[in-house]
Amino acid sequence: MNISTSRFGRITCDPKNLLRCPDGLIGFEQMHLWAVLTEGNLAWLQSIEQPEVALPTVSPYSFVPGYEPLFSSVDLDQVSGTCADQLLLLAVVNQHGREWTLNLRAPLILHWEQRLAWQLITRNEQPLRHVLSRTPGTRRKTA
Amino acid sequence: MALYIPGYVTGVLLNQRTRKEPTMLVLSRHRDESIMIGDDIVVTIVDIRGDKVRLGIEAPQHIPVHRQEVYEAIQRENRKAAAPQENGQLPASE
Repeated sequence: MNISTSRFGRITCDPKNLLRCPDGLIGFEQMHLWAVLTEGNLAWLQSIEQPEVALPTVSPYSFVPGYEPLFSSVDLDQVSGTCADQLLLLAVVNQHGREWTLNLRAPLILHWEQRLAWQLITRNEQPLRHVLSRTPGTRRKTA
Repeated sequence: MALYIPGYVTGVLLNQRTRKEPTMLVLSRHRDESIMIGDDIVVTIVDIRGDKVRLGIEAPQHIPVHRQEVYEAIQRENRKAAAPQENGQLPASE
């Protein structure tokens, strides 16, 4: 399928690869379908419903090796069903002035096999803006 | 308009006349007193010091409880991250 986007222009993606967010994302509660575009170590979540909405994410573990988010077991049950080993975790990248930050307080939990994702708030205190010492990077291809 | 919920609380429904905002029930409580929301959420005033109130919240595990400012801060953070002009030029990684 073809999708027009503000950031990437027209993109082609396989409907089977669209990510479903049953609860939307926080601040984008009405947006349930997202395409995943990779660009270097970035994974962009591009809204299917809103061409201008795209969120850059990275795996936080390559930037913050000691990251240990805690989630409620109920939250995780909802996400994983019985297969918690198949979950991926991504953190939203943000820019504040010249600094790049990671939102470690509300990471995205993905069950890629089922193309499902939720944005969960950690039960332990985690920084909303963890400042990165290096910038997340560049090249782009369609997932 | 006064509202009486048997066994629990007496309160006032605001905005009954204007109907511009969602109705808010405003209650007065002393320390160690509680309110119930539905039949399985209990909010207790644990302590009051100056302008700070400590609340104890008992709720079933499936109901997420967050400080409003945390949720709103995450909403703002997501919206800022998604704003096209902000992330227009991602610099190259080293």
